Amino acid sequence: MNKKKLYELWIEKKNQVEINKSFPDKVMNRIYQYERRPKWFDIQRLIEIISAHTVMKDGLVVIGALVGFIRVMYVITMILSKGVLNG
Amino acid sequence: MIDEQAIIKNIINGDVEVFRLLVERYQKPVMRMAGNIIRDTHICEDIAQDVFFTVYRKLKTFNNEQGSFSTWLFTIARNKSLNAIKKKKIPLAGELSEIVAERNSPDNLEQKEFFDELDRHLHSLPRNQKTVFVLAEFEKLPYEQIAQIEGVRIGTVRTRLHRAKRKLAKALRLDWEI
Repeated sequence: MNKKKLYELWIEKKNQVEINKSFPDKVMNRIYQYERRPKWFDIQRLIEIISAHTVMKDGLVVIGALVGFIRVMYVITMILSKGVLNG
Repeated sequence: MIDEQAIIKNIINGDVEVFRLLVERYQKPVMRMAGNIIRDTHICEDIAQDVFFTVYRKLKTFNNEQGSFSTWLFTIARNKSLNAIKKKKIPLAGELSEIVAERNSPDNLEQKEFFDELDRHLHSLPRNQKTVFVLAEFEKLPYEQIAQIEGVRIGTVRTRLHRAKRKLAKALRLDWEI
């Protein structure tokens, strides 16, 4: 058999896939398990919601920046007040 | 065949069981694609499960104006497969050749050797060329859809595919263009 024929046969073989008959059941079981999870505080869902909305992501960045800024200001104030007391 | 948009709408409205239709419709291409990117059939079933689970969880974020459902699904499948390679979930080379041989079970030695060689060279391609090759040659997807999945221009898809084919042809010392 020439290489061209073999190559075509290889492509054909690669297109064949054996699937476990229980595969859809496995997926659905996992989904039902997920749906049965306690929903009062779902961190995964929260992350999904945040990552799906640009406004949420921007809000989170702004909050992070604000907290960081406040902390830096607090540290500077502390240093300055100590400096003033010692000086 | 039930319209995909109607299925998606039903799932979002709370009819979880309808998701089974999507799994049954796309299980083969997803499994095949994962299998052809990472090779191992055991891991590719886990990856395919992961793909459908992610699709279910993120279904609300799917926007059909940005592309078709299959493109979105294949993008997730591609990324999950590449992540599995990055996380080194793939088996060692020795185990791989057994898996490939078992899956292909060619009747004669010449075929087996040629298939093994093709597999080896396919998996030694750079990742971006390999995924384009798999999507174009095995999944027979149009260049436009591959470009969307890969997040590149159609010209880039053409170039990557051409390079992949040229490398395979060179490595296998073929006297014709793949």
